[in-house]
Amino acid sequence: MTTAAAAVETTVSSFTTDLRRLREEIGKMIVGQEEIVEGVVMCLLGGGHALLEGVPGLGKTMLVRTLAETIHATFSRVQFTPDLMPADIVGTNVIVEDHGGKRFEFQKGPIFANIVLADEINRATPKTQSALLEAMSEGSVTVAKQTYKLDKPFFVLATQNPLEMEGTYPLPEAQLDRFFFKLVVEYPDKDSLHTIVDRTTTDDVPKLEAVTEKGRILEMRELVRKVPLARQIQDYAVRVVLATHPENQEATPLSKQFLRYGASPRGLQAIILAAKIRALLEGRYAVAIDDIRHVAPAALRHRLILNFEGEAEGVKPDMIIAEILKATKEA
Amino acid sequence: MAQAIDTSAIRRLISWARRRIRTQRALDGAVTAMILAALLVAATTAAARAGWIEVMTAAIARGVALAIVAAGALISAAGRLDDELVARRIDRASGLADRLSTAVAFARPDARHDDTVTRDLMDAAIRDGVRATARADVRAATPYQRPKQLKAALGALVTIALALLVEPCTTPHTAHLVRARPDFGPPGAHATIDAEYLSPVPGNVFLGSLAKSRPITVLDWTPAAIDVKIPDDAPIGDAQLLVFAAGHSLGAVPFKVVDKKDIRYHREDSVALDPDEKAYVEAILAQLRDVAKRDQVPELDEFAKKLEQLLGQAENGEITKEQLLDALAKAEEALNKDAEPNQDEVDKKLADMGKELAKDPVTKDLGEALEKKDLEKAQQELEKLADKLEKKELTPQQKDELGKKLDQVAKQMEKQDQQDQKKQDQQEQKLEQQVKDLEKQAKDAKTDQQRADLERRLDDKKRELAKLQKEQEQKDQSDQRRALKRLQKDMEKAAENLEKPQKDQSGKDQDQNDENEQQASQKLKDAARETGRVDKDQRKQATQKKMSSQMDDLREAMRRAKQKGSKGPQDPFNKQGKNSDFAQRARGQKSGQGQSWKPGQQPGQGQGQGQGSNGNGSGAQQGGDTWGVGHDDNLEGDSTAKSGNTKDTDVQGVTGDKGGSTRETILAAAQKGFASQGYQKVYADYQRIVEEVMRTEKLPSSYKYYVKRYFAKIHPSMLAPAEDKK
Repeated sequence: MTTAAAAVETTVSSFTTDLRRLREEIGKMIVGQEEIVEGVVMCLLGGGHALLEGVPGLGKTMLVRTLAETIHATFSRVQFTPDLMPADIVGTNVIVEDHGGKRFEFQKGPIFANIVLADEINRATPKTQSALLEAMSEGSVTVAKQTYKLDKPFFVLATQNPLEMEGTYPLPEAQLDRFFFKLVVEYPDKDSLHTIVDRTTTDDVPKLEAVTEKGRILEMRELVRKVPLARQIQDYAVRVVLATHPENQEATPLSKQFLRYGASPRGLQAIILAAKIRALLEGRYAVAIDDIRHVAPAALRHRLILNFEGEAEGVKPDMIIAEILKATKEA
Repeated sequence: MAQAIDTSAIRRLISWARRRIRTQRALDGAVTAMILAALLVAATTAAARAGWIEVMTAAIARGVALAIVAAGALISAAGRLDDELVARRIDRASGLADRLSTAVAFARPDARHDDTVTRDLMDAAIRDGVRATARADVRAATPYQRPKQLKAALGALVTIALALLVEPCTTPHTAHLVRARPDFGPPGAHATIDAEYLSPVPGNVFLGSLAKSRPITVLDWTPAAIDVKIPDDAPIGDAQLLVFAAGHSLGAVPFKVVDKKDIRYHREDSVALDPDEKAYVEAILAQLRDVAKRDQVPELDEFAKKLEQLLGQAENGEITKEQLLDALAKAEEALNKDAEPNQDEVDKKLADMGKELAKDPVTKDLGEALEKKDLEKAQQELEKLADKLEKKELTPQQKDELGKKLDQVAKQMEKQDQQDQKKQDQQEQKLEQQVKDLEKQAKDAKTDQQRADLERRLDDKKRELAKLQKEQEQKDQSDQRRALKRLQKDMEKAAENLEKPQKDQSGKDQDQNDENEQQASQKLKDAARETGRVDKDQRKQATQKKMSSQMDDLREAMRRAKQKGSKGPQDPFNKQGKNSDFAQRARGQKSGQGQSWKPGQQPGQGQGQGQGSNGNGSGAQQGGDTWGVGHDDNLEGDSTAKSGNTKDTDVQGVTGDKGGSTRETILAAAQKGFASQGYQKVYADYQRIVEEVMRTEKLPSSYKYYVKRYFAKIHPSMLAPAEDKK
């Protein structure tokens, strides 16, 4: 084996090891949510942001806090409420006295952190939501004509509660599209509940360690983008995304019947990047069709827009995605 | 570098798998070809036995049959097999996560990448694929299977072998029955009994059993088939069709008389209206019939009857969706046949005629009736005038004036017709000229953009021209216009007859004068009849216009009907369950599913919360079957919240000239429980608003349909059963 070959295999191996350690460390605190942890880590490495949907008390905040601690990153949390203003998130200029004079000084908002938890994002007004979403896509904020770059990695994890929809401002489709994944946090099973009780109601509280650091995360992000994939596999992903468009010839019966619009090219990008991360996580050097199938639901479910009939029948996007994945031929 | 990596292990695996796949394909192809070959052998052998071909030719055909089998195998095996696809098949069977297929894809010369790291990763993936060959299971990926057509092929071979062994039948043919086709059918259906070597002289057919049977109608009798009609009152159940000819029994074939409504025996592609849709369509038909009766429009009643018949056929599974829609379109076409395309133009013509007639005292009443569009009265006035003429109640001067006025009006109508026709012709010529000009310009256009623009305009003009021509055609066929034309002719003739005696007043022949008056009177009666026809047609069109919304609903309901054979999973979203649950809740009964709807579960809410005395019960028990007498303590609901951000706006009204407007206060439902208003009133208020919005706003027809269906379901008459039971 040549030196270059050995080097690349070592790189992938260390990537896999680091990622496993990161998941294991998070797993010390977060029990029974392995898929969610994996999804969040994929978003972090894919350079995207995650939208978590789940009822209160399932450990969403704890997950983000734990993630920040394990990668030795700064963390901030914003609880979204209807009276929250954009300046409360991005920061504002305040007057300070200095050497007898007065001057404006920029007071940074909670968005200036590596990991930001936007709790119950749908409770804030669209104006405030868009301030955050703009920062998410640009990686910078502008206050009084002055642009401030956000520190990298910058990762937003927004949550929303599927219950109590009264008085909320649901995110429009165009803004939902900015999220890399939408992850649905399910209620833990019986065994997981036992473990949660054991860990949180006794003195035996697990201690977290920083298993990696920000710089390493950025390196891992670079490696992800280098992972190759065969043309036929990329073609499969393209056909899966096309099948979500009801007017396309690849569309399945359910998508024709219940969908108004399908996923955007951003959805396809998310699928491919996430599949690359999964390939590395599994210790492989290239993407497989199974990787596409594994990540497609999280990447597509918030990007499918149901039509009136779909809404009226209470159809879930996951059901349509499952049918698409089953119906789309591998080649 | 990729060239340096040895991928021979992967290639060996692929070659092995490919050989196995080709072998399997060859087997499949040979077996399929064997059926064809067997048929060839059978045909040539039979032909040789019949003496149609030489025995040698049959032997050659057997050789050809063998060649067909070989060719089938070769052609099937020779199909293209992509390396990557074969490798993926091995990946799938061996759980290798696309390692082999990816290695094959990356090893191709055109798969090289510029980025060094990506290239290294591709090489690593190829090496990984090579390592994975140890775990590959080619046998599992390409298992040998029994060819799908094997049974059919063996069956064909055995049959032919037997046929070759058995000597050809030389015995004389005896008449016998084969089967009934179809072997089931409802009372009144037609069936065919397939038979062989029947006598051309018709015999008799009976339905039933040997012990008890009855004769049935024979529609046609040929040596190979007997067409019969099952009696309309035939009992449902298993029976036999017994055939007799020349006093001898030819045997019997089984036949099952089935219920028309039994969907198991309906055509596969017949239309299926679910009970809910059917009830909705029937409600619309009932409305149509009521309106037809009220407005005395027999055509509409006929239309409703025709639709009823179609629904019956749909229920009996006799027609397909296409046939149903086609029949509906034809029925509508028949209903709209000879309709007037421009009612305003006809109304104006009648009004102008009335205006002119109103100027003369003799025809004043007739003229006023026409001006007011009261055609029924106009008909009566014409009849009165005819009577007066007949009974000689008009003075010579009045007759003279009447003659002149009728002549004037008839000429005015003719002139108006000519002007309209001229105008129409001019418009048509102008459009034709424009079309020609645009065609020329489009041909000479310098740029594609210009040509596209001109072609678009050309299409618009062509459409406009076609519309104009169609309108002219409709006008020519319009019942009203034809009646008007006859009316004009009758008036002209009446005027002519009235003017004759005036001219010959000094003449000698008084009988001739009387005859002229009688003829004028008769023509006026004819004119009255034509006026009546116009009146009838106008009423028909007005009624149709009023019913246009219901017609739209009918079309939508028919369009939504499904095919019985292509329904897929039965009621996948439990629509029927939801409908019955909705109807149950609407009657105030507790939902069978418990948590689906709040009002059914809380005490004191909603109508029908138990029977009278337990109106304030716990709500956990089964609800009563009638309206309750209890009510929510807080009848008026909570006071209006004042915390909202409201903004006062002064709206200034403007006096318009579009007619009166109505003022109405909509009372919202209480926040908790039902409003204390009568249900019927609340329903009527809301429905009126909804109808108005649907008429004025642009909404997709399917959305309108949902809303209409919702209101149909909560219609007071739909909720009545619970009340009726009491």
